[in-house]
Amino acid sequence: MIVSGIATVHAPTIALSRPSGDGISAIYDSFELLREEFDTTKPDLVIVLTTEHIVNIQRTLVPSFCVGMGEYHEIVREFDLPADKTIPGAAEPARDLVEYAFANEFDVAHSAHIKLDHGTVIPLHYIVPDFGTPVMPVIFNTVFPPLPSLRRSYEFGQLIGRFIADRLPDKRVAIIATGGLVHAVGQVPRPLDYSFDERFIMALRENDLDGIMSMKQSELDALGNGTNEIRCWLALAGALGPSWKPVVVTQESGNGPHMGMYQMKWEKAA
Amino acid sequence: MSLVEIESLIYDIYRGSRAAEFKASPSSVIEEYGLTNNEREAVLGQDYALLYELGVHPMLCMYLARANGLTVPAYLGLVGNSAAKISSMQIER
Repeated sequence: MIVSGIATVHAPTIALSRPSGDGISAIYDSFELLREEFDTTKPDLVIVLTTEHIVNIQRTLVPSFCVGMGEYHEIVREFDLPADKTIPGAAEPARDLVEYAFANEFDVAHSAHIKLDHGTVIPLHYIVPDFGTPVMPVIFNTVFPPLPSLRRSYEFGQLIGRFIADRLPDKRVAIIATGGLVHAVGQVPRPLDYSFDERFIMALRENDLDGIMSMKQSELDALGNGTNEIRCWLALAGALGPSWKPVVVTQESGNGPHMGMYQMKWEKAA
Repeated sequence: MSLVEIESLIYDIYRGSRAAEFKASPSSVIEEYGLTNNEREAVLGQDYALLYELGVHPMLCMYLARANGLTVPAYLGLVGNSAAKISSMQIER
């Protein structure tokens, strides 16, 4: 069963130890709350719906969704990530998810060797004590077009939700979606419509996602290439379903580049 | 135009294990990839704007800049200025 649903930005500007000074701060406070949530809900499996930064996917072979079935996961050497450590995998439930997907008309890819970058490791560093809980990464192609549609990403999340209910009734599963809202990575700087962030958060709050999921890729492209990462947030909303409500929203307003820095936690309605 | 080859080269430098080798002898590493002369010159000349124009993924353009010791703001300044120049040239035409 699902015990926790969290969505969080993963910008590499988030340091692994809280810096002093005037920089970003709300995110660090929020990570402390999310860590408490983890301690309270005590998951024994963490599914991370994560984005791609050209680590596991290259233009030569582009799966839309890829389930990490490794016994453990390496950490990519970048920024200050602890690349000498590994993160325990969840090979058996990951394989079960792939088979469940195939049986339910969802042909996902799978990999025995997913490498985790800042997009996964920064949230896990803050939320999961000592990387001590098995992690099943699920990578979304958010970089090489054509990308999976927003609706299909949501539907994949729904399938994950059904899988957990059907096949993992006794496991305590936390799902963490990672990614920023409106932002661009490496693109020529240009003005972006940051008001979309609020529209997206409101749609999640009201569980009224049809308008968002009907957006064309060209509309998303206008919001910066990083905005493709909302696919992971939508998949989490799909996995949780309408009985879960967003209860905490953090918006980082500190210094630094605009990276669509939001966090959200869901709670199951009583 | 060998987009996949340029991207493979940058991937191998930034994500793979060829960073030191590339730093020591960039031209010999580049020889192993099927790049055209222009593309080879763009990589060796650190012409991120041209690579960007050729369609190399913006993330990989940025990774190459990082591998060459540039900060992200410096990289964005380079591709931004170049884009502004190109657009003003188009207006003049």
